Amino acid sequence: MADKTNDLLQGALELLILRTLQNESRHGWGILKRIEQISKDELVIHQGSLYPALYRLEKNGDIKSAFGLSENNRKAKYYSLTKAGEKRLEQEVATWGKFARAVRLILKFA
Amino acid sequence: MDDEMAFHLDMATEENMQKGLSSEDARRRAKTDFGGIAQTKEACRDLWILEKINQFWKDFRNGFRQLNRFPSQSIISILSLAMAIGLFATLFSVIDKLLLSGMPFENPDELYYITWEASEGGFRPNISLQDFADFRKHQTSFTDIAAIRGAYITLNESGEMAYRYRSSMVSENFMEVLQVKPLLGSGFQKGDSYSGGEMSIILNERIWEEQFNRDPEIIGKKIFTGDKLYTVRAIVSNSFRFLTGAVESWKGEIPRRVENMPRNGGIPTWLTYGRLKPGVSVDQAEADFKSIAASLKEQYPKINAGRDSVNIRPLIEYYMSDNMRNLLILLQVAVLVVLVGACINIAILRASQAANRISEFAARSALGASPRQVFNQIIIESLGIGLLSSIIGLSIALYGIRGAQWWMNNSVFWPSEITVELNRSALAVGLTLGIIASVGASLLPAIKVYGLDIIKYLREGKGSVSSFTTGHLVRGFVVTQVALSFAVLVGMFIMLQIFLNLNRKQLPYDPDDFLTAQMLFYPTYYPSVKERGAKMEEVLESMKAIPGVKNAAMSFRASLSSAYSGEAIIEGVVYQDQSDYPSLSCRVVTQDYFDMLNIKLLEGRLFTHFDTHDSNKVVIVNQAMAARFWPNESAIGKRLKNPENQFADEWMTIVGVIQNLPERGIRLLNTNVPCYYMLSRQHMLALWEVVLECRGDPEKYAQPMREALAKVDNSLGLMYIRPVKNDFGQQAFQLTFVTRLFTAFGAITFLLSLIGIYGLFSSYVSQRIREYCIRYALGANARNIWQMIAKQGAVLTAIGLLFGLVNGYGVFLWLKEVFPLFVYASHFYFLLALSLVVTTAFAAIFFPARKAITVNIANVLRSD
Repeated sequence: MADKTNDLLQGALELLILRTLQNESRHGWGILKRIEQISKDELVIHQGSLYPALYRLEKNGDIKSAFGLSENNRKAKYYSLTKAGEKRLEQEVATWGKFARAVRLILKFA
Repeated sequence: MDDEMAFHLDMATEENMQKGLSSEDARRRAKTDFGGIAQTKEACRDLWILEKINQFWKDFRNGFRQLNRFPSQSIISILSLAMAIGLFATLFSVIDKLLLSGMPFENPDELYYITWEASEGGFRPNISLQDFADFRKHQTSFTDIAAIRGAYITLNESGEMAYRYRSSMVSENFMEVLQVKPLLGSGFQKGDSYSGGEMSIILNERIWEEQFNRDPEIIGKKIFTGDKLYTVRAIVSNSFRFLTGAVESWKGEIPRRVENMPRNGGIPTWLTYGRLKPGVSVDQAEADFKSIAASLKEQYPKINAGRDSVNIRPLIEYYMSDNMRNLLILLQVAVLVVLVGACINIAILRASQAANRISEFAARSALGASPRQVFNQIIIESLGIGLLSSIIGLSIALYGIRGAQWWMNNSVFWPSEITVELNRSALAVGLTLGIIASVGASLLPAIKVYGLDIIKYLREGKGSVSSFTTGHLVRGFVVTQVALSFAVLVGMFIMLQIFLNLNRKQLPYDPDDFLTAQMLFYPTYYPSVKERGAKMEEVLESMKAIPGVKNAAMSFRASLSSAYSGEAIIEGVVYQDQSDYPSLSCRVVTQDYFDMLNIKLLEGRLFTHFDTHDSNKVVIVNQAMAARFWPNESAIGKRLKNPENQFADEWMTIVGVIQNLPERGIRLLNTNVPCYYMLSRQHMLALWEVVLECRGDPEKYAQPMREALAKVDNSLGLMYIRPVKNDFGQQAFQLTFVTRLFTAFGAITFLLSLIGIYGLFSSYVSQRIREYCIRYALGANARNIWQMIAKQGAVLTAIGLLFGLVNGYGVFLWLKEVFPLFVYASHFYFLLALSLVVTTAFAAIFFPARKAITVNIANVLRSD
């Protein structure tokens, strides 16, 4: 749903971006559509939040960018994961996994 | 960012169109869904800027932390650069104003003074009144020209005691040409001073206060000045002084004088100046005046003989001789060289520091810092030094300027028309050079780090990095600094000696013991030579009776520091016309003059009581005059006369030859000026300098002097009472000022060199710490290391001294040429400079060496 953007999603946005870039480079629009597609439209990213997140990741050195031609021959800025980004993704996935298990346990047994 | 956002919108629009919306609606929907493109761009930019600021602040803080790690080298770098910038900006500003236009008038660079072309002896004669009037009428190059000459007035508004004040006779436009605004009134009126018009006068605040109690109704009031009635037209500030010294009033007399005075040549004495028209060059103006001069010469062939062309020079040069100007220009260049030297110093220090820290930067890169971050760190550290030095340098410059202006304001010798302010271009040059030196020096190591292969470096060590050593540069610069210090010290000691001996070497008396004042014997009150002579004797006796006064004498019109210029006709010499008369110095003095000043008689006799007003006219000449006109025979018994009207054109017989004195002032650095001395009671003259030889501070005798004169005659007044040393100071102020500048420059340059030598040598030793530690590890002891370092330092110092000796000798020869009378061949300069430089070099070696032999060897070797 288009309005299901919450604080939790905001916090995980960078993680989601890193994950979508793990296997191939994408432009901003592509990242957006990939997240919507994989989450079956459950996660709709506020477009205004995407680009600041991309800039933060790029400044941190987790992703890098370069201009190229899109599938419809338009000039687009493509992002790809760096080695530092791969490392961070691995760490964040592990952390997120622990967090998710902990929350599940609390919800089940608290 | 714009391209990226545009692409995103296009894609969203396309998707919306695929869903069935029109292109317009699809675009609108895409924008709505995006939720504010401008805000998104702003958010991204803010992130970017914040990131940059954060990073810059981190690097800046880190940079200052690094400065703290090497405090002595950092302080050396900062201080030496700051001092160099401050010195450069201050001296450059002061000299720039002196050489260009430091006068507080509107557009002072338009003001020029006009003389006849230089004659024999380099003198540039002033213009006569009639020539001035003709030039003014016919010239087209200046907006206007004006003339001024010294004079005096006597005021006695209280009726109790007459006061004489220095004055000037001026043309009625003299304030308009300068564009000076008075405090009260509006200046001379149209028609003033012409026949039928008012005789008008301008007074300064001092006279307004002393004589008129700052009467607000003073403008338009008629005052009696001893011989005439004048109408007061304006009051000017006390600080207004112009050309004729500490003058307090200006009489608009020229127009009437021009009308009434016949054209009779005589000695031209009018200082003429003007404001050049915009777009007119000096050459054009000189050509203009030359054509007028040619027609005057045609009209008056005898009177204007030899007056063919004029010199038009910037007015500021009136205060500054060519010699002094050249010295000041040289000083400007020298100061720039010092600044560049300090910048190179910093550059080498910074480069060697950065080169020593390659491992530190490599480690930082390995820990995650990007090459760009490390590069930025190095540059920002250097920027910090450059900025800090600039701030301190600016403060030094501001205080330096204030100090220089204070000294000028509080020195009676300084023409108060000249003001000094910080030259912004000089400051900008200093700051820019400093920052470039500091940042530029770090660029090379920073670039090296940027392209460094960290893995290879950490695996293989320093050998994998192409060697970046500043050893040769540092050694070369130590040698240069030692050589420069030595030469600068030699120059400084010579200038100090000149400064201290300015008066002493040339005078047989101490000017500090004398007080002088001007007084006037009006011809109307003393119509004969006998009466005036008797009155002068009475005045002198009254002065000698003042407790504490050792002796008293008088000299016509000229102070002790400088005789006035005159001419002479030597008996037996044939002259074509009066332009051939030799230009000399001359004095008219009372009988006791020579005795009071301890002047040595070389031949013949001095004036005696037998030389009366009606006996044969007698004269005494100095050694230079005797040598010039009677080189192969005695001058005693020869005759000469002074062609000026007041000396009645009578032959005078030489009765004595005395030693040479600096009769054209210390400024001209030449005591061998021909001068002759006439006896006061044989000539009918009005204006005299009364000179007292005093015990203690001469200034405390000013009031007793006035009272002693009033006892003799209440209508006689004294003016311009001052210690004789002020006259000498005024004469020599250029030389005094320049020697002080050179001395200050020398002292600061030596200090900079000292700092530079220490910093460089310290850096040189610290680059070799590892080497010394290895030697320790291989069995050397502290003494061996100490000897090694001392030997290295001694060799560099010796080479530097060798070059320094050559430079120092060059400086000595040059200064001897400029100041031949003051500079003596003396080992003293060199020995003193040598001992100072060797002491400095020893200190520069000792402290770093001590650090080297007390270092923790294990830590140093382990850290590699």
